[in-house]
Amino acid sequence: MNEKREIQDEIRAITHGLPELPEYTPPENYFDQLPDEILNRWKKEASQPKIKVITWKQVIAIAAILTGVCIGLFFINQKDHVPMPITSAEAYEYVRENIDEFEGLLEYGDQVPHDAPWDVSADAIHEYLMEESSDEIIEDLF
Amino acid sequence: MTDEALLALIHHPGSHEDGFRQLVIKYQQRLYHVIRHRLPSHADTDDVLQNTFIKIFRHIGNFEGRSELYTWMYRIACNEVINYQKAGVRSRYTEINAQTTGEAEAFIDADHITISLNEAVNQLPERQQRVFRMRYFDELSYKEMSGILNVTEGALKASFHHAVKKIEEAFRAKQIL
Repeated sequence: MNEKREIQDEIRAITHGLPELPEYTPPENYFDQLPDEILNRWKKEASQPKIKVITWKQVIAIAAILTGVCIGLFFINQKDHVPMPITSAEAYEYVRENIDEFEGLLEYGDQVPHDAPWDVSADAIHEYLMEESSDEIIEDLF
Repeated sequence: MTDEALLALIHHPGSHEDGFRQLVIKYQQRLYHVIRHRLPSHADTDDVLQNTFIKIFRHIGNFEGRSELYTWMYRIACNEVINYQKAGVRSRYTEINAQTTGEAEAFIDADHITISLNEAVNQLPERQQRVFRMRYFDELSYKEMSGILNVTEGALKASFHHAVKKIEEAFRAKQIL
């Protein structure tokens, strides 16, 4: 190898010489057989159907992308979901259809106030009505 | 056979197998040498060398000729060594330690020099380390190194010179020289 000799000469010109690297010699005939071995392996691999192996890194990357897309879609939907003004007819329809939700309010309306003045006599009421209304109307009432 | 002729053979459908064979024949010893200095046994080197050539065959269609063919293959070989070391070199080490074969003993003797040298190289600045390893262990020419590192040949020669001087000093301190 000319390059090796050149390198050794170069090193000798700089210093008295570094220790020479050990020569690793492969088993006998190794280089004669290697081309066939590699080509046989290559042909074998080329004839086999390719199986796509998904690594953990790819799985994590795909999961991260999907999560990002989901979060993005969520925020886009949130922005689109601006409450629209409703008409009184729609409000009435809603209350009618969901009357159960307003049960508490309705019950309050039916309740009799505890401090109602029930101790007022019938005569007092009659007198009050006589003062406030005309005679004909009072007669119709009774 | 020139690299251009090799590539022409590989890219021609009727002769690509012969092209692959010629490629292996031309570069197998050089790449073996590069890988062998990084791994502890011939068995490991054989695995990585075969993987390297398979990868070269698989991707040679993507080789655009922007660098020399050897420097492109050299990069693949270095990456394959790194992948191999990450993947499961421990089992192979255990195998070697368990055996007292001639190969293992020879490896220990031969590697004594490499270990001392590596200790000295590891003390160098990053760039000098890379330059020294490429030149001394992998026997790359300055032109090839320039293509890989994107540094001028003059700067690489200066880095190598400094690296050798520093290693010499380290060896003298340890009385190896």
